[in-house]
Amino acid sequence: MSFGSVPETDPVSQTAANESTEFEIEPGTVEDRQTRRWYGVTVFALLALGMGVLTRQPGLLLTSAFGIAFAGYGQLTSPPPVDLDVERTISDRTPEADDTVEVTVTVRNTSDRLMPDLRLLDGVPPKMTVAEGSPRHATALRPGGETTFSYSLRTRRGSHEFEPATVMTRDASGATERLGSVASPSAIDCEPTLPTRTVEFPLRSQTTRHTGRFPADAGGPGVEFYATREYQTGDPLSRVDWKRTARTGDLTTVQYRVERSVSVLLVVDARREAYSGPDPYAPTAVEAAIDAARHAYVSLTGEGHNVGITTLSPDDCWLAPGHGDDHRVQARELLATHPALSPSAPEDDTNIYAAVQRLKQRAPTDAQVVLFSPLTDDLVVDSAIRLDAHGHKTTVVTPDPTAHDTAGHQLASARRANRLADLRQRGLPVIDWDGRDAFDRVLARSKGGQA
Amino acid sequence: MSATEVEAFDPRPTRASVALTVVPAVVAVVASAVTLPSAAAAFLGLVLLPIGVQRGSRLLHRLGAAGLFAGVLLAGAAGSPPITMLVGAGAAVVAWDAGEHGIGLGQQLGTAAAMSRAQFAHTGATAVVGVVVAAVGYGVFRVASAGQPTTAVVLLVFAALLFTFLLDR
Repeated sequence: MSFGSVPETDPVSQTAANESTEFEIEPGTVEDRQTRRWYGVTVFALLALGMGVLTRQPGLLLTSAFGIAFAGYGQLTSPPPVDLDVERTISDRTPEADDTVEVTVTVRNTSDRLMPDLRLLDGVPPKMTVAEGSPRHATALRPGGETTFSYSLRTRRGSHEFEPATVMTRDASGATERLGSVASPSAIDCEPTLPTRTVEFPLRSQTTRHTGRFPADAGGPGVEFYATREYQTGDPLSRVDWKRTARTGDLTTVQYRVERSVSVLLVVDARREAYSGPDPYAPTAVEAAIDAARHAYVSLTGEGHNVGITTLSPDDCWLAPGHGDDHRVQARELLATHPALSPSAPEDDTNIYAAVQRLKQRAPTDAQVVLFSPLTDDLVVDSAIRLDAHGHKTTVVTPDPTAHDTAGHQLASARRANRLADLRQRGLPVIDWDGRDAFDRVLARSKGGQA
Repeated sequence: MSATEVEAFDPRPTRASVALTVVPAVVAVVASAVTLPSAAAAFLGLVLLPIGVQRGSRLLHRLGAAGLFAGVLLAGAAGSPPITMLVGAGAAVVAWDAGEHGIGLGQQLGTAAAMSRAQFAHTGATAVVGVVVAAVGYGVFRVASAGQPTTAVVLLVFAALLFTFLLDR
């Protein structure tokens, strides 16, 4: 998934507009509507009648009769029933994110009447966008006849259910239309795979008990030279600095920098406030945060750390720190389909204090925290500071959801910049990701400024 | 994925609707070109109707249809023969119907959707009904003017019954 080419518009609008169709009807029920489209012809017929009487022209009277007959034609017919079979063929039911899948819809007329005017709108999953073609179709169908049309969808992370197709049938004259819907359950599960490339994710310096690849600020067995100290009984002979002994006669022991593994908790901010993007159709900051978390998970577990995942969200979401193949599968599934990380914003507010409290109770006491948040409000900044103060050394990765086109957007952007500055002043490393570059490149650049 | 890739919904009718409107409209203009005012009104309708359909503008489409119908009425008032009147009125109705149907389809389904089959089926049905009604009407007219009032009265009574039935619905 790329977070690239961000057009500059609304920074706080919710994603993928919840466009409802013009009418909503349960499958199995129908609603009839008069279109009243023949009224104009009736008016014409009556005008012709009046003029015919005045001018005594037989042609006008005949035309009047003709017009009235047409108005009658509109009344005589009735729309056919909505008896349809809708079948969807999806080219790939488990695609990657930001891919396109081809949806082919076959519609069969199962009624015993001709459908002279059948209009159909397929129930595209609300969070998907149509990439090519149109999910709408109009045709005429004989009894038993079928038609096929196709369009392609751009996939988004998560599992998506198709909604019932909305159908409208009209009689031949078009005077009455009948609305209905046809259910045809099918789904697309889009679970992005974890990235294969690892990047060096900057963690904060830390000392813990377990051996790993993170250089701790302590001496002991290891690879990199750390310090020398006076020989103590029990030190292994291989670590005695014999050259120094030859020179001075004292026994000294070489200490190497100890490399330790760290427990890391990836915390994704998935509150409603975090579902913001530069424009309503752009991926939200939560998508970018999940993408970053995916990179971080792969990189950190690759370095031997225990990595857990949790969210700040109304729904509870927790994957205890760990590593290994099973854990990796769990992490991938969780990041792809967990309801707390749904592609659409939750309706409930998040009690962020309770969420942080829960996190502190569950997390290992020395676990580091990497918070992925667009920092769209002050509460999340407070939470990061509190976590850090509580001994969970915190790094903040913040995808930038702001735009700069209007004064309001610029203000939102400036306030976010202030929050970033505040965090940095308190010693929390902040990685600002404006979405124009790939995440690994941003990490490489930020490494220079890392303590 | 950016907003520029999300195709905007285009509510304009397809080209087929414009073609289906223009052809009968031309017939209506030819049939009503009896006097200068009737020809002018019908021609104005011929100009406005396709523009309205092409833009999906119901107002322009209505004005155009009104022009066509006015042309037919003026031609009739000037003494146009009944057969020409029926052709003109029928063509005007088909032109109006195809345009209205096309605009409705465009608004509901958009330019991108496939819909030509529905359009041809609908306009074809209207045209067939128009021909049948015109033929029956002209037959009755000939029978009545040939001096067989009994047949004409029977048909008139039948028409009145049908009319009452329709009003009742």
